[in-house]
Amino acid sequence: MRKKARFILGGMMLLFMIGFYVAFFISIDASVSDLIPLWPMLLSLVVAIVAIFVGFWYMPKQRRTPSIAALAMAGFFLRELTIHMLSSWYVPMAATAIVIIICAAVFLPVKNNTTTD
Amino acid sequence: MNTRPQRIYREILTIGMAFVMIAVFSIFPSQHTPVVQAQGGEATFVFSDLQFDGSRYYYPCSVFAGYINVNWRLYLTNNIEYIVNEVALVSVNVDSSVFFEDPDPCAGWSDCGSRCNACVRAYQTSCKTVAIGQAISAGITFILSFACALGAAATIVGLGLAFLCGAGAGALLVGAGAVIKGQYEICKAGAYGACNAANPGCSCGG
Repeated sequence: MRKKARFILGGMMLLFMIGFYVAFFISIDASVSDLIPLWPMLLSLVVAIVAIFVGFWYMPKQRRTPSIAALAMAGFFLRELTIHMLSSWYVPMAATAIVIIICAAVFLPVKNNTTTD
Repeated sequence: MNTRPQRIYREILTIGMAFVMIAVFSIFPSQHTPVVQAQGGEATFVFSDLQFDGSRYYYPCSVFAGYINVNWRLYLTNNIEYIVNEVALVSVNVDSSVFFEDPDPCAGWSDCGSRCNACVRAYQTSCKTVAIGQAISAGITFILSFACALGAAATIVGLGLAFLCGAGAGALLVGAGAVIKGQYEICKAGAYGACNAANPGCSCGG
């Protein structure tokens, strides 16, 4: 039941994001050719979404809080200390940090054998 | 030791922490942006992409390479939220040689009509590119806020909280989209002034 509710909520979020971007791109008359030069950012966005959803789905329960803290810290260091949010490097670097943190949370062995939720 | 109220309490703390941290980090402006003086006002440049040629700071924009070579784009701002607006503002006020590669890539076009059309189109496309990039960057913050809350939620109460967090983050994203759209329109309108400045002797409209 909870897994189903989580799945539905995640789906809603994705649909909302897709709807937002479609509406936004239409509002500024953006065409596919306008988006092509920004492919690294778009790809990074998709990678970040997939990594977060798949990662939180499979990571052990006790890793969730540390992962959230790590993600927030990564966001802090990238955005506030190193890379400006409007830099073309920001989204790809953020996606890379997300993937590394999620992979560490999912694949590093845990001491006690805890199942995923 | 691990009763249901305790679990819910821990979950509320976790979700709250996720949302508050990300929201707070999103609000704070970036601290590391070199500041120089430019004609027309104070100029704050994007730090990581900035290039320095010994006397001037440049922000290279390779998107238009091969078209009009508007190679240098500056983000000048006193306020992070109005960067696109400031691009239009400073483009008008600062010497055009800062914004266009030297020698002038438009030199091949002798008539003002061609020069202005190419300039305005390239400038407005750059506004669009900036707006799309801003929207994508805003999306990353939305994902972090909502997905982290959703990931932390393990009970129905937690899922309810995650939903509320998502609704809040969604509202912020829509608000950010509206602001970006407004800035895009201002930037687009500023193209004429910028192109007038970049093409002395030509009237590009506006």
